[in-house]
Amino acid sequence: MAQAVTAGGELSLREQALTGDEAAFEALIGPLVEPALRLAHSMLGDRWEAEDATQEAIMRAWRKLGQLRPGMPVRPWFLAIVINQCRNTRRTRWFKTARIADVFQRPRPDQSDIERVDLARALARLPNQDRQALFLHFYLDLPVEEVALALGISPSAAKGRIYRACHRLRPDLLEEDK
Amino acid sequence: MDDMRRDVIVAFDAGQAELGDLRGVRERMLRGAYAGRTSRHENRLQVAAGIAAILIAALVIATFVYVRALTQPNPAGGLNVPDSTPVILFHDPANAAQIDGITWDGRSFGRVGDGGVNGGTSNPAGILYATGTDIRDRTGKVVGPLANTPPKTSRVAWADDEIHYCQVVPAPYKGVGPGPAMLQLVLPGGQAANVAQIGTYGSTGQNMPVPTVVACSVENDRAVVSEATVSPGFSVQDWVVQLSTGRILWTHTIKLPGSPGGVGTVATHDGQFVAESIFSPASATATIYGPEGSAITHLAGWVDAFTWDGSLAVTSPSSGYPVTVIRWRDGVVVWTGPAGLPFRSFKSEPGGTRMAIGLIDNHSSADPTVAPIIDLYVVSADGRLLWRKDNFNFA
Repeated sequence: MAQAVTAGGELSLREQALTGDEAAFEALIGPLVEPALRLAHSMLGDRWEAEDATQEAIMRAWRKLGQLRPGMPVRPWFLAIVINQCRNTRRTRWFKTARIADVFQRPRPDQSDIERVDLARALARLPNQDRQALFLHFYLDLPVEEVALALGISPSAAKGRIYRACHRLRPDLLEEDK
Repeated sequence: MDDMRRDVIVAFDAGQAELGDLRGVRERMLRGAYAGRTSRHENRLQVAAGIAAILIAALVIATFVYVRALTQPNPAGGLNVPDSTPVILFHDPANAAQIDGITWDGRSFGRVGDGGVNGGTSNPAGILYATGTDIRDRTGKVVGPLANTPPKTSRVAWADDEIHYCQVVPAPYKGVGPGPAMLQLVLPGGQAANVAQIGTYGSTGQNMPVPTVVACSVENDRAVVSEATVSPGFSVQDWVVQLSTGRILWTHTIKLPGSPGGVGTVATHDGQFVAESIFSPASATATIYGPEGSAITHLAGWVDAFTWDGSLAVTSPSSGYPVTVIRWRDGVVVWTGPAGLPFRSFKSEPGGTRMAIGLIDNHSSADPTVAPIIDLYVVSADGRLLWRKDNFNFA
């Protein structure tokens, strides 16, 4: 779903963006807006909160562009900003989390597949950091190394987090995989 | 694993349905971001001037801080900082019922709200606090009742997600006398979810009648609960519990053979590391346990608290002072408190590295009816005293 932006092309775009070139910045960040919005929505559970957080993250990315080291992949760097912004939003708008929790935990009436509902519930019960790792790896298709960068943890920790989350969701499935 | 990937994507898809059609969202959000940002070109000179002004101001403030401690806080107005800025909540020196807040750099402070007489326990970032009866936000507004179960109340143990809290209440019990206790995870204004039946409620009726939650981590899906019993013999049992399943991850019991003495448990905010301390007038020793419950290290001294990242521990010797901050894995002392001032209270900066340590200033007072006077020391992870305030009582 997310477009992988290669490090080779980033260097010049990054440098151009640093000079204030909006087109270069758009070429860098533009493909990541939708994945960022989906990530924000998965963390906040509300479209408008997610849009606010993503937009704020874009502004922060613009301001912090100098911190993006040459050769560093843009995607996990930008998604890390989105994650931080969402965490701030959750802290600030704590009262809305009651609604988020409700959205996550309520069985959706149009889902008749019991197993699917169970999995959705199990996802909702995962610790936030485990759910984020799953979302980045499975839904946004980030490799483990980029998941690690986005979450600010080591690749082995990211791998462990993904495995732990899978095990919690479907312990029997993983047993079969062995 | 492919099945798992497919199923997880389908499950996430269901949640993402609300987003609907995202055509045009990219352009709209980029335009919105451009409109909201400050142009780098247009404001380069202003930015340079601003940076210079900030540097000068920082120099003046730093000089001021090093010359003398900040004056007493006397918040006449409300706390005027963004809700996302972590603050330390404290009881107003002139009126303990009033809760005030101060930022971690010590520069902004102001009034938050009432309700501090029988409580005022704040969450890590100081966004919410619990009074004896309800939960309030940073403006002092009541946001929900305190979900305590009569007849006894347990201390609110705020979670690291800044929203939930853990508590221990009596579990359903038809017998007479002490009954089982229940660990709960509570969303203010929402339901209390039973996590696990742990320990005994009202087991002693004395100093520590209920199990105490020493860590509540939604982020790391675990809580640490400690229960002390005085008969037969003084002992403490600690449990590390998985919040989502109620599973006991590990448990440990300490028995103190004789008295006088004491046993205490503290944990990192995420429940990964647990320190059990044993104290007697002659010595104090502590053992730190890791995520799986195995002993990692033994320390001389009593562990009072951990920093947010868990790398540093605040410790006290058997005499009570001086309080030290140590890097507990290798024992390197990072900071040493003033002589004669024992430990009283602690806050770690959520997600940050600073620590706020409350030390008792009038410890030597012979009058036991005199309330303790607490001085606040805010220390960096590398052991620098950043600022301090006198007469500061944490909420």
